[in-house]
Amino acid sequence: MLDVLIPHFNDAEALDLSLRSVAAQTWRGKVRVIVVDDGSPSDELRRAEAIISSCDLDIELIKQPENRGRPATRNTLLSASDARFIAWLDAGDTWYEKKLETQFNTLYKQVYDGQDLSRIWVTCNYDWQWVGGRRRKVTQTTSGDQLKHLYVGDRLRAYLWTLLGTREAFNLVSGFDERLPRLQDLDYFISFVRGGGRLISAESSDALCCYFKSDVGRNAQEIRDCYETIFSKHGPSLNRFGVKFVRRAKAKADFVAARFAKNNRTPLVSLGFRMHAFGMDPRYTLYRAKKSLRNG
Amino acid sequence: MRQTKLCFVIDRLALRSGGAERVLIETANALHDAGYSIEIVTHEQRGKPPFYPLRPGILRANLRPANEQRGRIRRMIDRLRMKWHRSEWLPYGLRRLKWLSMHGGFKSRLGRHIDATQPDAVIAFLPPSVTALGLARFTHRPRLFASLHNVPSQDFDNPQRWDPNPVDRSFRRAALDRYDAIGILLPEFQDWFPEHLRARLLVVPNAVQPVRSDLVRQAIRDNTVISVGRLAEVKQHRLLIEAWAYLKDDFPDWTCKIYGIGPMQEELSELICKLGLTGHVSLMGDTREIEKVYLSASILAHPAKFEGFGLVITEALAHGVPVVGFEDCSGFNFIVKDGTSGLFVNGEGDRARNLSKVLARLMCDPRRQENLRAGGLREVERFAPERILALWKLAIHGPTEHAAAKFQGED
Repeated sequence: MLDVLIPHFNDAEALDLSLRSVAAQTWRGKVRVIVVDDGSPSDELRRAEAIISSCDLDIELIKQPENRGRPATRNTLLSASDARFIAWLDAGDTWYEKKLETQFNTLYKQVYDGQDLSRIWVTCNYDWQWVGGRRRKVTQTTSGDQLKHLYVGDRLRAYLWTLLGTREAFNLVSGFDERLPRLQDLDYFISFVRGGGRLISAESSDALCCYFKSDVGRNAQEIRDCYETIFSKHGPSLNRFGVKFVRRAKAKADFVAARFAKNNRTPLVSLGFRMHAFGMDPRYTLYRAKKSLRNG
Repeated sequence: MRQTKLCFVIDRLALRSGGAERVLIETANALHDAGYSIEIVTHEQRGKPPFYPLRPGILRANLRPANEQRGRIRRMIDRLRMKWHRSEWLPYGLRRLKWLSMHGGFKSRLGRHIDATQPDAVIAFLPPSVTALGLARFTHRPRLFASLHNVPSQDFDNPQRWDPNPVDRSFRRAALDRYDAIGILLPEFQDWFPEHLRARLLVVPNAVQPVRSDLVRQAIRDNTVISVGRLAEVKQHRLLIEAWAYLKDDFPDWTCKIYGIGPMQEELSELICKLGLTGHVSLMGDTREIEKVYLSASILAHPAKFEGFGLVITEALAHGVPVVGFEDCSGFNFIVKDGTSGLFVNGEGDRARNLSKVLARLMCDPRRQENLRAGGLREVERFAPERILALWKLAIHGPTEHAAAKFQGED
């Protein structure tokens, strides 16, 4: 049995979109969807309830009376799940119809190869779509040093909705850090890999899900603070890659925060993050500046 | 989902096969299996894995920066510092500075790490980490537990143990005040602690991993007396070798095998030759197959002066091996009951002679060996992993009235 875990807050329409993509899966195993509503206003919650009751899927709705934030909601979902397998989806993102089938095939192949499923997460390539923009395929690379790739975030990105694994594997390390309103998935991925877990890629180079990306309304400073919390929390494992690597990872975090600030129309804040990045890793900052000039 | 976050702190763990390291890893594994989230924090130069296997999911963090990641000047300074740390040069005015140079980094990095990870409880193993955690600065307020694994007077008063710097000894004692609870191995160790700390003491013996009963039942025992432990003065292997000089003629078909390595190897080897015991007494070195050794032995001789606990004793009993040791040896006299699971040797007079007499009595009495074997298997049930795990949970969460009553009842 598979539990699909979906946190929901104040966006019934997005939930509907995600549920439809679950219902359309070609994998025909037993699926239960657990939705935890994170204290949505009553009218939006009613709308979500109507969508759930009209859906053919087996759905369990858990209501949190107050808004506790994404990490606490994800922890509630993890505690509520009792199926052998778990997959994640965020309200508003979608799976393509072959996602589960492809990932289960990969997982079963691991069983035949004698691998321990309690230490494996299957990830997949995905489409990245900015609101109002074109879709772009993003490849998840699971070869090489996964911890290093997670810190840098270029080759392997920490997105829960790409994953399928056993419940044991998702409970290998502690749950989501409730101090992290953002990037709690990155922290969770890093802990998993540090704890001896391994990510493997689904046996398909196609994108298997779609991430609808928007930076609007997200606090850039909050994002940067979350990065800092993660860097200090996992400091010893980060520092073993050397000072240059640490500075590069921090400069990249500054650039992510700068992007959020820019997309939220606070150019001065964005400039501040870029200046900070320059202090951290001047070469990388100049490379980024050159690249953005070239791209216009 | 794993709710409670625990942080175990020990200064060195890489490739260390000592008793405390083993207890740490077995405890961490048991708590991980019980649903706790565990991180083990060390502060050591070697980036090697632990000697004992850790469960997947347990995180490790070595707080000490790797040498190769430091600049050339810093590395040069570090080399000079290391030379000073190893030397016995300790002028009065520089004692504090030397302490800071040796332990300051661990203390400050540990404080920062605790604030960054915010565990619910931090458990420090052995005096160096007990001191570092006790003195570290952090704003987060986890429950602090000090886990001590030796006779307290050895850990806190003996100038030869740990850092001989008197500043370290005074910090070691002062650091205990900060702990919410202090774990000791034997009830008799309570007497060493000052009055204000006694209410915080908790006796947490070491757990004994169960051995399959069919293995113990079907074991074919040789005429072998074994002794297991580091070849150091405190373990008194010398006494066993001297005792065997009295036994060798009466028991020509028996052998004595001593397992372990240590600084006295050469001295003991010479003693064996000097007493003409070659072929009767053998120094076997280290072994990774200790279970086989226990299952083929008839008696464990444990002539140690004192024990913090005596893991070897409980392991032998769990494998159906009766134990012979001195009545005044702490640990031994707590675990073994005279005439039930082993035999006590009188500590007065010629100890080697006394040991040989008791060993001879047992070696020529297979029925008694059998009775003690059965008694020992019953005795070690006191140290069953689930019982010790319950004590660890008490150490981690603190005693509620109900839990305290329950454990007092059990004791």
